Amino acid sequence: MTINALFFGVLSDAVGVREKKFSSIHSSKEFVEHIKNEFPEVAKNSFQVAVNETLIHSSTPLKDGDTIALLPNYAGG
Amino acid sequence: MSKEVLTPGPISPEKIATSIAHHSSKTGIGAHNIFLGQVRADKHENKTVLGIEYSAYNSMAESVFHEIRESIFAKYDLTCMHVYHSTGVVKAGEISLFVFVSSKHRGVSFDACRDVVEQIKEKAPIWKKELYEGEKKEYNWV
Repeated sequence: MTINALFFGVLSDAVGVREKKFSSIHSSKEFVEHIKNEFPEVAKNSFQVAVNETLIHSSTPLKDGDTIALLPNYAGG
Repeated sequence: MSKEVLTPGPISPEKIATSIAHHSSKTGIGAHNIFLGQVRADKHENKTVLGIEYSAYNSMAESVFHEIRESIFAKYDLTCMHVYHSTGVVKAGEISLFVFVSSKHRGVSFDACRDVVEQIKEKAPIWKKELYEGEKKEYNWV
């Protein structure tokens, strides 16, 4: 299975890309832990997680084709 | 009717004037309330801000703007509402946010306009980088 990951704001700098595909990641918790391990800079920032454009507040299972996005604090307006 | 809110580059004064002119046929309107967000030339550690680069989770932001629109029309008796938010680079002195609400009477227009701006700041997945003067192309996420 493949998921599409999006990184916004300062997190796109921390990870080095704005968008990347991942395989064999089955939950949002697993994804966040994987990213924090691989890119320790990410853990220094507060961010929300969205799955398929909906903010989630607890670990959510991921299925093939899902999009997970890491959203640092908003700064619009 | 829903329109896209995100628009590339700065919002021109001409666009604002045209938008006002388009409402002259809506003769039930007695009040317009307009908020314009302009990019400030702040100083950060002695570096002057040249402009701001806005980025957004575009599709999610448009959904959020739609929800804000629905909530505002449910809460206030408005005739009309238009919102435009820049993406990409907007230089200091240029406009990056245009909120335009219209109503029969003025009271509700003040409240609704402020509510829209505050909701955008709170809920829209938009980020900004301050771009600084100089050859090094330095920037800072704010």
